[in-house]
Amino acid sequence: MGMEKLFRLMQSNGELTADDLSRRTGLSVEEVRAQIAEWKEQGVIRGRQWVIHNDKVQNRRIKALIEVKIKPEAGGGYDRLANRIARFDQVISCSLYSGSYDLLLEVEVDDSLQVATFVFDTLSKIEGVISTQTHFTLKSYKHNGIQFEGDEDEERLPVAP
Amino acid sequence: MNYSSKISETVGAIPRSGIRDFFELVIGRDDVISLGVGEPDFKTPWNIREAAIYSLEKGQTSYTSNMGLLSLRKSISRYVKDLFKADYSPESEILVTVGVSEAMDLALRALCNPGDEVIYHEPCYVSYSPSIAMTHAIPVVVETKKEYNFAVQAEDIAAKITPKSKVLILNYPTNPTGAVASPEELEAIAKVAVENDLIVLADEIYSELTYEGDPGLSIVQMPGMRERTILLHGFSKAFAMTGFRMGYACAPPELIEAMMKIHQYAMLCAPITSQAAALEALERGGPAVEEMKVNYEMRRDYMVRRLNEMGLDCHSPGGAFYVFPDITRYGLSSHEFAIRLLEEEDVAAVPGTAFGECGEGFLRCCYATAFDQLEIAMDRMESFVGRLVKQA
Repeated sequence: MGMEKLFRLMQSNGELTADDLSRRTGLSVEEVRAQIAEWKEQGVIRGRQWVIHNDKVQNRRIKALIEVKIKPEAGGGYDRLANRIARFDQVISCSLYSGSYDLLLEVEVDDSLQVATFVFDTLSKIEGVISTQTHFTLKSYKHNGIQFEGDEDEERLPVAP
Repeated sequence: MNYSSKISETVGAIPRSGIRDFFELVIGRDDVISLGVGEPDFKTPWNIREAAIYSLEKGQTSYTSNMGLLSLRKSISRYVKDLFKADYSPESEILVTVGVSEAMDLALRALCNPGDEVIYHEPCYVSYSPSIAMTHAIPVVVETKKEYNFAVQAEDIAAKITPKSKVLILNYPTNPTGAVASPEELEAIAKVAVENDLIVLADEIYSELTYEGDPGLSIVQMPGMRERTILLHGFSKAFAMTGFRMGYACAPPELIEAMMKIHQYAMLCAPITSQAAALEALERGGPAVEEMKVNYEMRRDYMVRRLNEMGLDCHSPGGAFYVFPDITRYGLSSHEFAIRLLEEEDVAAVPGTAFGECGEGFLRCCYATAFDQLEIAMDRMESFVGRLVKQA
C-alpha cells in the first residue's frame, strides 16, 4: 500500500522531495529513495518536468498536434517508424492510436513557419508516412491533470462543528 | 424590549455553542492555519457539480415529492443495500432530507414526548443535546473513554437506562474522536437496545471514511435492530457536498411516515438541484470518494505520527477526518491550550470541551486540509508544546 501511495503522489506532484514523500507515505526516506532508484532502473520513471501554462509565457512557443498516418512495416509494425519520428527535437510527444490516424504528435516550435517546415520538409518526406493533418493549439485549459483556471477560493469557515 | 421574556424558555436555556465562541476568536486573524473545520477541503467532484448544472439547464426548478425524487430514493435504496447490507423500500422507507441535521431533528421530534430520555455518547457532534432539548426530551450523556478509543460501551449505556429511556443516538465514525465500533461492541449495544425497547438513531455520516474495518458496519445489521433503527446518512462528508445540504433517513414505514409529517410542513422537500447532484454522486461518485479517502488516510497517518512524536498521546482514529490528541500532560485545560496555540502559533484547533464536558483534556484537529498546511501546523504545534515542556 505504501508503494502504491508513493507512486500516486509522485505522479500527481513532481515537486515532492524524498523527505516530503516519506512524511506523506510513512515510508522511511531510505525506502523512498530505494524505490525511486528501482523504478528508474526498471524504466518506470523517466524524468520530471514543470507543468507550464503556455498561454502565460512571454514569447510563447507555438504548439500543434499532427495526426500522422503511417504504413506498418513487415516484422516491425509501427515501432521503428514511430521511434524515428519521435526523435525529432520538435516533437514533444508521440503516441500510437487506434482510429482514423496512427500517430499523434505534439510539436513545439518558435513560430508557425517552423511547423510548416517540419510537416512539409521533414515529416512528409519520410518513407512510410502516408498523410498528415495539422491542428494548431489556440488556447490551453488543462494539462496533465492540472486545470489552468480552476475553482476560486471560496470563504471556508475556519471553525465549524 | 425585554426579548429574553419573548424567547421560548426551551431555546433560551440552550447554551451558546462552544464552537461559535472559538470561531469568533479565530475570525479576523490572518495567517491562521485552521484544523478547526468540519468539512472536506476537496471541492465537490466535477461530475456531481455538472449534474446540478445540467438539472438547472433542463429547467428542473420545481418542488419534488415530499419524500424526495423517486429516482434518488431508488438509488439510495441500492446504495444503502450495497454499503450497509440493509434493504429499504424506495416508496415507503426512505426520506430525503436537508442534510443529516434535518433528518436527526425530524427523528427526535417524531419520537419524543416531553420528559422522554434520549441517550447519546459524548464527546459528540454539537447538535445532539440541543436537538434533544428542543423536543422537550431529556438528554442523557454516556461518556466515552480514551481507553476504548472512544467507542461507547454497552454496559455504560445499560447503566443509564430508566423507565423513561426511549431513544439511543449512535455516531460511528464519531465526530470529534474518529472512533469506530467493533462488531462485538455493536452487538452488545444492540442487545441493550432490544432488551429496553429503544429506538436507535444511527448517524452514519462518516461511514465511507472508515480506514480500519468495514465501512458498512452498522448497528442496523445486528439481530433485532432493523425494526428499531433509523439509519441517517448523507452526502456532505464522503462526497464533499456540505453546501448541497443533502441527507436521508431509512427506517420502517411507520417511522418514516411520522418524520414525513414534520418534514412536509417544515421543509416541504429538499432542493431539487441538490437532489440531482446527489443522484449523480451515488451513481458515479464512487471513484472520487476513494481518491479522497486515500488522501485523508495519508494525512491521518502523518498527523498521528507527528503528534505522538512531539509528545501528545494520540490514538489512530479508525474513521472520519479528525484526530483527538490527549493534552493533559501539559497541565492546561483544553480551552487554555487551544487559545494559546492560536495566539502563540496561529494554529486553530477546537477544544475537546466544545463536544461535551468529557472532551476536557483533548483537542480536535481536523486533517481535511492540504498536506503542506498540515506540515506547517504540526511544526508550529511542535514548537508550542516544546515551550510548554520547558516552562513546566
